[in-house]
Amino acid sequence: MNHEPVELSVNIGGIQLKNPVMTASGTFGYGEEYAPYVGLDKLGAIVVKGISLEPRPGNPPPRIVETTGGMLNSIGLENIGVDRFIGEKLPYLIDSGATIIVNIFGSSIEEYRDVANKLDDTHGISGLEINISCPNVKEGGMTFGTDPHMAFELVNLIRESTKLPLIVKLSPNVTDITEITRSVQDAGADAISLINTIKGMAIDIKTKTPKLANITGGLSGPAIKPIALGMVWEVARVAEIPVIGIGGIMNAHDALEFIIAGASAIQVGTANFINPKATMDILSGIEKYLGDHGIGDIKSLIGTLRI
Amino acid sequence: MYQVFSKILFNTEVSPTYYKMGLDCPEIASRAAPGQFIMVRVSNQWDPFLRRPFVIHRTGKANTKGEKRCSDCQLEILYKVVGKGTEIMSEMKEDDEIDLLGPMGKGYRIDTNIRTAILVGGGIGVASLFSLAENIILQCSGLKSLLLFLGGKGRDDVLCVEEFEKLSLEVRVATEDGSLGQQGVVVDLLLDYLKFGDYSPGSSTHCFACGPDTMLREVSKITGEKSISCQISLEARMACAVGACLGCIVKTKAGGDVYKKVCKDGPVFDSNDIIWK
Ligand SMILES: Cc1cc2nc3c(=O)[nH]c(=O)nc-3n(C[C@H](O)[C@H](O)[C@H](O)COP(=O)(O)OP(=O)(O)OC[C@H]3O[C@@H](n4cnc5c(N)ncnc54)[C@H](O)[C@@H]3O)c2cc1C
Ligand SMILES: Cc1cc2nc3c(=O)[nH]c(=O)nc-3n(C[C@H](O)[C@H](O)[C@H](O)COP(=O)(O)O)c2cc1C
Ligand code: FES
Repeated sequence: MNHEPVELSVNIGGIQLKNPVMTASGTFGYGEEYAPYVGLDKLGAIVVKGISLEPRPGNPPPRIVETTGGMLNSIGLENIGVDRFIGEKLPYLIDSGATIIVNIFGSSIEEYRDVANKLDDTHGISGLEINISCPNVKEGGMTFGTDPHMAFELVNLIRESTKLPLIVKLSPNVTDITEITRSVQDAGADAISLINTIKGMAIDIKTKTPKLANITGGLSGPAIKPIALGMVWEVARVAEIPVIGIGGIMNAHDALEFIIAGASAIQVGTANFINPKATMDILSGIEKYLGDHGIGDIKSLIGTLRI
Repeated sequence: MYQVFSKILFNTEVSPTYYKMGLDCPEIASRAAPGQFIMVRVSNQWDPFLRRPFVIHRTGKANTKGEKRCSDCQLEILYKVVGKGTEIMSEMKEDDEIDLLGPMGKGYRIDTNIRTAILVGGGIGVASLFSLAENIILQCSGLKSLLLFLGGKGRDDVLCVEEFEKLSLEVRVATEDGSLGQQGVVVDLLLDYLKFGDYSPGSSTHCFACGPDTMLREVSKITGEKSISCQISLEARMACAVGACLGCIVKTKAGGDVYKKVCKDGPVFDSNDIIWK
């Protein structure tokens, strides 16, 4: 079937994306790792691996284990630090023509602010994604994402120290995700992304030891999709800012569910590991769906769930 | 690196629980170096979820003898059935299609001045040594001796002896139960050789090893003490195999205690670089 061209661009809190397909932090490296498989400039945006002020070695191995329909990871936010990121990784990404969003985290409010500050002065970055939701580090990470007051204070401080659009990435490891949504929105977030991984574990029954050296890890992949979808729907109902859906998106069908639930864009995570071209397949699948259903603009599909 | 939907040319049991699979994937085979690996998707569903890594056992490229094997630019893997993924692979049939990524990682570096090469394989570790042996023969014109020490629990774990002998390798075998070769572990063979063998430490003697961690640690220690350069091929749990997930790390001495990625910086490392647990 031949279709009229469809409009795929979306605006996420001031970041103009040519299409709604982004990569999820930590699952696409610094972009170059997947360049043999994906035209980086074809993506809506690349969200790079979480960056902190200083380099971090991360947790000891084993760090990944397969589970039914998913995987657990306990990487522990290993990264090369913001200075090396700017010096060694950013130029390649800029040359590739990609829209670049930098995922950041810190072990204190001040550290988050300092990383944001450094990136604010750097050319080529379209926005920041604030990770307040990593289950694999003791300090910082998820503690900011589970306490609405701390989340407010953190986002507020970063808001004051950068002009870049701020996406705040929420944790599913909470009782009421709408509470945190309101806090970060009030503090000045421009968009919300969710979900990060869900805390979980796996045990070797022969040795009676945990399969991860860190004992617990973050669950991702198709196993978490229904949880993610439910949370995206809940958050999109109360949020006044755009929502980005993440969690177990493996194909265009999954992505469309999130968009119908209220997500303005989606991030593809673990699927990249299984199919390095997953993002491109998802993009063409979305385009085909829009064409087949006579939808000329993706924006008119967002949040169209009928209840 | 390529993603290829390859046809299975054959998938045969070569010893109880060990299989050899021939794959029609010229894109990968023609670019593969010894020690590199492929990532195999074993199911079209999400269970098993992650791809499985397998070293490239041999390719048609280095075929010098003209014996019957997969033809030019095709590729073989040799694998042991250990869990659900390899179980599914063992049931795949000729002409089935399989989704592969490769060639991945950095393989063995072959110094063309090698005069004595010692290859040490433990169990399925032998898989990565065949194309290495072929390439050493092709590339090292001053080669005086090429030895292969193979070890396993029993005779069924000792694979490919005849194929190696056809390449004119000197093969010595050790099994833990004594059912084939000398009784003991493969490291004993290495120790015996270094005690009595005619080799010269330094740049002209090189050791290459692939097998379980305990074996690799011993081999590294022994070759280190004798100042023999040694490359080892490591295994680690992998998700992406392109260096993106940071799941497959190993502790190395390079620039302090920093992690390296087995999938991208390896799987083959200089044994001196590794910090053993
Ligand atoms: C670079 C590399 C090359 C390899 N080459 C070969 C080869 O040529 N022949 C061969 O028989 N085996 C090889 N292995 C090991 C092989 O990948 C595992 O035996 C296989 O993944 C087990 O899968 P399974 O589903 O049968 O086992 P399960 O135990 O059911 O697997 C569960 C999970 O553990 C992972 N896993 C299990 N064992 C290993 C292991 N040793 N290394 C990495 N991941 C593992 C699997 O990928 C899977 O995610 C290699 C491993 C690596 C890292
Ligand atoms: C190996 C791995 C590393 C990750 N690292 C980060 C990270 O550095 N920062 C972050 O915000 N999220 C990180 N995540 C979470 C993902 O971005 C994503 O939120 C999560 O995996 C759920 O999506 P998925 O099911 O599509 O993978 C990581 C996930 C995985 C699997
Ligand atoms: S397997 Fe992902 S970094 Fe090596």
